[in-house]
Amino acid sequence: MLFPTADYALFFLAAFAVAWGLRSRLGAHKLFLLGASYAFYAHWDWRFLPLLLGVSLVAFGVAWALQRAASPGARKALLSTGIVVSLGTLAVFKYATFAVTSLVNVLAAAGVSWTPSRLPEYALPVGVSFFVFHGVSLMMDVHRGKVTVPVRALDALLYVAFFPQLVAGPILRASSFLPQLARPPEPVHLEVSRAVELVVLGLAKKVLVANYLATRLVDPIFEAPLGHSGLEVLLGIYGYAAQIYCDFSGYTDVAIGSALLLGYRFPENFDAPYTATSLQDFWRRWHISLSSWLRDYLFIPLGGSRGGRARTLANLAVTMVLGGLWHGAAWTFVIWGALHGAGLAVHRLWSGSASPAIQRLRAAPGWRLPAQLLTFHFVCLGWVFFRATSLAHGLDVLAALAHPWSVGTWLTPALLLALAVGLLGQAVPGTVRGAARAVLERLPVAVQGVAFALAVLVIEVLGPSGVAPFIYFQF
Amino acid sequence: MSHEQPQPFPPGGPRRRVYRLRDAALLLVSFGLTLLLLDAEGLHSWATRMDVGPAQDLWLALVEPWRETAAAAGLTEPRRMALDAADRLGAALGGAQGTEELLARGWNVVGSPPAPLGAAAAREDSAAPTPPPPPDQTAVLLVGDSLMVTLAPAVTRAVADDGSVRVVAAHRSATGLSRPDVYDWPAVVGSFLAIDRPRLVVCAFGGNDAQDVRHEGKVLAFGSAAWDALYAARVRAMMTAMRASGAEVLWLGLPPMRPARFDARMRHLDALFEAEAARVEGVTYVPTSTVVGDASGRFAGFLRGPGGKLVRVRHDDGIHYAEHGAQLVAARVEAWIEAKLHPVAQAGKAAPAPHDR
Repeated sequence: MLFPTADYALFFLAAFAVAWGLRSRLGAHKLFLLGASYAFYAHWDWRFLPLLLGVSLVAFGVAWALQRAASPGARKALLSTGIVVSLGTLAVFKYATFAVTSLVNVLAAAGVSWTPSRLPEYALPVGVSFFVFHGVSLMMDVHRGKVTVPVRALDALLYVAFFPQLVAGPILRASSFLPQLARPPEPVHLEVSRAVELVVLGLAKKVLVANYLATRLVDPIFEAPLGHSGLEVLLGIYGYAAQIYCDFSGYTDVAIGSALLLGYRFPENFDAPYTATSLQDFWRRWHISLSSWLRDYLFIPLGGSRGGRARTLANLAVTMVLGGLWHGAAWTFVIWGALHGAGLAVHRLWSGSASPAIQRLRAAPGWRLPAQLLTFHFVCLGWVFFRATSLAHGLDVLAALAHPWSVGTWLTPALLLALAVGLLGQAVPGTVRGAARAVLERLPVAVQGVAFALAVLVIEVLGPSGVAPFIYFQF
Repeated sequence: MSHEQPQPFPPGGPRRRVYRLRDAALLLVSFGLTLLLLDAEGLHSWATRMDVGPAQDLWLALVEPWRETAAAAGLTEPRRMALDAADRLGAALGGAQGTEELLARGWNVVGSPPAPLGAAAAREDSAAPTPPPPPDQTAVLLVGDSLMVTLAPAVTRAVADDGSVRVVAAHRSATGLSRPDVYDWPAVVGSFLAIDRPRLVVCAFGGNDAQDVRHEGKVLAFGSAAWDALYAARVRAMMTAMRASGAEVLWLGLPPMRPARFDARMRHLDALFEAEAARVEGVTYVPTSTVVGDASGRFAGFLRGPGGKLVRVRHDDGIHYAEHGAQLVAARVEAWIEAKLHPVAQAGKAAPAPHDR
């Protein structure tokens, strides 16, 4: 069930009441949340429940055994087996078709005709990339000794499947989430107004900004880039940058707010990414739970930046290409990842340059804005391929930028407003939001509830009927 | 426990309010009650959009009396006023002028610019008993559900070289002809016919239609004789309305689907489409299973392309068209469009589509 629906509102209110009602009986509380999470998943696609359960049980079994194994050899074997099984599952469901068809096409290009007896085609389970990464985090964190509590089956299953993050993250760390499951949630830690504010803002980002930009600007431009002027295409690309940010960060806001209302803390996933002054800075602000996952479980095990410049750049490139492929089995995602890998490598060379002139420029106050604009436009270049249906399609979009720049009659104030909110809204300082929340918090809680309800009513009235799925559900 | 009953603003600490569980419950209850009181219409709309079945029966039984009570008490007025204000605001900002599809139409137009016909005048025309204005000889209307989402840009690109074609695309996911209570396609198509006066219309419906429906108080099960009769009548009515506006119609069949049970349901709908197309002069039915299916017309995720390469023709979900699949279907559509718009130039070419009447 999608977050911006009455189905989810009713499901969540019931979950809230029962979960808090069972707070004094921790086992029953967690068992209920696990059952609710499986029901939430089954509402998407019950056929893949056994897969979710299987991935969770493998991760738990390995983590349980790791906490009891003393020999380094045995521990290494356990971890390797668990990771191969988990990532192998992901590979079968997500990449097998891509791998086989790519091989067939490479052979065909070389003049070798080969037809596999059967293509390994499977429907993509919702959220598989996320719950497999949760399983890997559990095994890796236990192997590294970062999980300080004994891993229990119920905790492991709930960590992997907890419904607010199940289908599109944020990706939780076992080391930070399992301790939260070891004791009953404390109502004293409830930040109710922050939680509800996150839910309402998330809904507004998704329903008002992302959906509006998608239907009025982005989809029409990307559907027929060659039929539009250069300026229209540029605005279409900016529109997609705003759309994907509002879509994904809106989803994350609702997820974080929902978890917070149940007494659990999720990590932040976005931090004003389009204000980044470099690509490295961007990846500290965009989909933080994925970029830090890739850093800790892929880039650092590959050797990180410990093996000299060439090795570091290669590790960056491999990490980003695999990060691109994580989003989907398509060459467009490979290109997106490779672009970011190359960009990060260039930035590393640039920021580590021994040239005093370059370092003076980087330190100059006036460099900040050009650096932000450069970073944003490089990110937009990546988004073109991320959104494109094929390499040729992405190149068409870029080629259309060279069309004569004319403004059509379609450029309405509403569209510009949505674009401005989508791109610049994130630049509002946290202190402003904090001050607004402080004002809200001084109101009686019943009045706060009325205020949030009126905000939701406004979103419903202004938003389109029906809700488009979140972009990240397809990953 | 003392830590569960803190002061709302503890002295000396940060000015962050501390909530108790009771506060959280009270906030959520006031939140829910406010929406229950002021959004009875929204709740009713949600309930009517649910799949027909016992769950919907239960919710409607709760929501319908509540909506009537709320309306009688004037509680639905604020929402209506907000909707009116939103419409005025939207109009002022150029962002809303009626249905979304009518709004989106300006975007999906390629080729020559739209004929200068005001929307108001068009609505007046359509309501008047006088004959409809002649079709715009350049306009092609593409309508459908999510299958049209990938098909429409492929058709748009396919006909882009023909500068005389103006494509107007209107698609909406998760809609169809079986649930006019959820989305009123006949009314939307009627507006497009009146405003754009298309010479040709291409339809791709049915992907969401294999569901039970409620009709005159009874639930009709998908595939039952009564369901078939009702659905066929709706398809025929839409075809007839398009023909009455002067447009010729290409009705696309549903592609083969990976889930076997779903595919069987789609084949059932295809049989209804084909039968109804045969009954209405000027409507051409084209099956797509032979275009994006394997040699036997069954589901294929990939097909061999030029140079022996495997190209993906269907989306991962086994339901929607992938880009190449959409291009294959679009080539058929383009051939039909060109044959209709430029019959002389196309006379020497082979007939593009089977079952063409």
